[in-house]
Amino acid sequence: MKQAAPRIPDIIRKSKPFGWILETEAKTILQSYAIPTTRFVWIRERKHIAEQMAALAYPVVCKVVSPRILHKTEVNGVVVGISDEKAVYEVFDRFAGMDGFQGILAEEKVDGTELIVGSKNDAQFGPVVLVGMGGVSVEVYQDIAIRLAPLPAAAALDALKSLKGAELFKGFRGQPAVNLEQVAAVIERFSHLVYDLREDIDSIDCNPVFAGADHVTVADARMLLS
Amino acid sequence: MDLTHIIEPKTIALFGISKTNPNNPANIIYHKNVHRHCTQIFGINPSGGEYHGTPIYRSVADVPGPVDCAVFAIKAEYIPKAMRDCIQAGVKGGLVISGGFAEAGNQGLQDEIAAISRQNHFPIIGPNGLGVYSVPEINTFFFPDERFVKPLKGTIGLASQSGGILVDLMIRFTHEQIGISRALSIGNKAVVDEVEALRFFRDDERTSVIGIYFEGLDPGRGRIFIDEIQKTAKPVVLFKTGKTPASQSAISSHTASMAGDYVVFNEVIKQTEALEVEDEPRFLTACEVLARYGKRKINTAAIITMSGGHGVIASDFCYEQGIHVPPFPKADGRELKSLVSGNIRNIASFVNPIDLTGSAVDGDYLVSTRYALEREDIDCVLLLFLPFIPAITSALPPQLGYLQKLYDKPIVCYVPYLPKFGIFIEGFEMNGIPVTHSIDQAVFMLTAIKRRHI
Repeated sequence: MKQAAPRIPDIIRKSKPFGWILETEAKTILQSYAIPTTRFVWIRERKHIAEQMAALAYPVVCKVVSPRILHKTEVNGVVVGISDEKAVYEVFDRFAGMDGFQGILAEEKVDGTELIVGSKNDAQFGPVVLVGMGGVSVEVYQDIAIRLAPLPAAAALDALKSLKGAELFKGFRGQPAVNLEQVAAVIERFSHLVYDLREDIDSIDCNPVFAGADHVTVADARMLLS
Repeated sequence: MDLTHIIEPKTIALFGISKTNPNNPANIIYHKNVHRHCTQIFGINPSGGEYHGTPIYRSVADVPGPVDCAVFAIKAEYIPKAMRDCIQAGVKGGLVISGGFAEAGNQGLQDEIAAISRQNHFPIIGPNGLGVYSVPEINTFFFPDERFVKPLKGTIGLASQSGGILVDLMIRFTHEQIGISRALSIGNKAVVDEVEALRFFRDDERTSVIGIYFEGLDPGRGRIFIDEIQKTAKPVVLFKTGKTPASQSAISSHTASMAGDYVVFNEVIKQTEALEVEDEPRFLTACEVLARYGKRKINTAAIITMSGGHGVIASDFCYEQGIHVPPFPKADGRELKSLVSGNIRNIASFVNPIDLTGSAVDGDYLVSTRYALEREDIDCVLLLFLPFIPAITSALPPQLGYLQKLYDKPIVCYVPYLPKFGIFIEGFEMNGIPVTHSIDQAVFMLTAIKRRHI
């Protein structure tokens, strides 16, 4: 059952009471700026599981959709490596008992080098974009670069190359090299999103973003409202 | 916003002069300015009378002739009316020395004077600052001259949120023989903030380098600050404090917590030609070397030393800073070897660093420096100068200064500090070669003048 994509102002207005935008809708906003995300379906009702899952290829990741659950992993609201429909039903039934349940997000698994792309409205400088190496690099080493939004792809490329872990983009220990120009082009579009929506969105975390030789894919997205 | 009339006034109206208390800030300002500077100064006090034989005017409207700049050293609550009187009398702008505004919880009063200023095109510097040091026209830093240094005339323009730090910096600059053009104590920066200071100095003919100390920009001023930095061809040195985040979790992967105020500032400034320094000594060093050389292409350096160890340390610092110390080809080294004196020919190293050893004489330094400056693959020269080497004389620094001017490539110099080495240190400084007393600071000089974005 294909639904018309909701308009960004509608999503924002609807999300205001919660202070943040559901991942499904955050990804819809990203897609409207031609920022690729994982292929996903938002299954609101159990009876649509089979029909909606037909659009995806297994294995998939399932996440709880609830405006009351910002940190999904803390409530065991994320299940990875789901390989068949039966398991999707089981996950749906378990998530259905969670606070504010509005369905499940099922998405295809992606691979690649892990990145973080984010933004925030800085008190002094206004909207800024952050890029960094994902995983441990960002959590422990805080290997990040920050630029004013919006920024051209050339500046985004420069930011990516300035990361201490930039060597990893060239292909490391069997990982394919990352198409950095493609990543930079996505960051440019992301920076326009950030700038355009600066009045409403306070910060965005696309984490992780997976990048490879021929793709850049946002796997998780969180948008906090002002 | 034109600040010329309040930074370079011809006439000053001084509010708050006391007939009985000579230590009143306004009285100290009066004494500093009345005889020593070329500006006419008129004391204002509603009770009128005389002070040291000169009339005190009851109102700014009574002052004969036009007034460029009002200096307010009166109670905070009287300032809005005094400003309005000045505007009525055609005064061009003012310096608010008085405290008792936002820093004391009176944000409303500060907003009021800011609004009066903006609505009437009456620029004010302050409140809660020392005002302006801009001789020979004006000096409102309200401490007696005998308790302060006499700053040297130079081309570095300073602006500071903190008056205390500004005074500290001026003392250090003077102690290090570094001259300044003007100093603005912007205090609570109700109207004139870092952005306005930057704009003023950008167009100021007396200023070639802009140095700013600040704790933070006001909300929303960051982008315009960056724009102003991009627009100025003059080097900008920024000393930002208040870097400690209010709260910081050790491990975080959220943009809002990773991109704290200082992290954003630091990252954004790195994208400009402005140089952010981490401490006072580097602020001084950067301002000095930039005033001397401006921004340059600095990719490679020749190191000339009298001690191998010093050369290795300097090479390490250069490597850290991304400045290449290219080894000279063997044939070139042989050429230099043929030029030096016989006593070092077989013991010196000519590769780069050039180690002339403790047996070098003045001539060895001169031929090596000339040789390095002539090389197309060398952008600058770092001298590691050890005055205790027996055959070196005080005639050498002026001759090296001459070579620097001849080739127009930067030379910076490390000289260890002992009072008795002063003759060499002054010899370099007076001949245009900046000196520092640590090797890492000497390499930092090269970093400071390096043009980052071409």
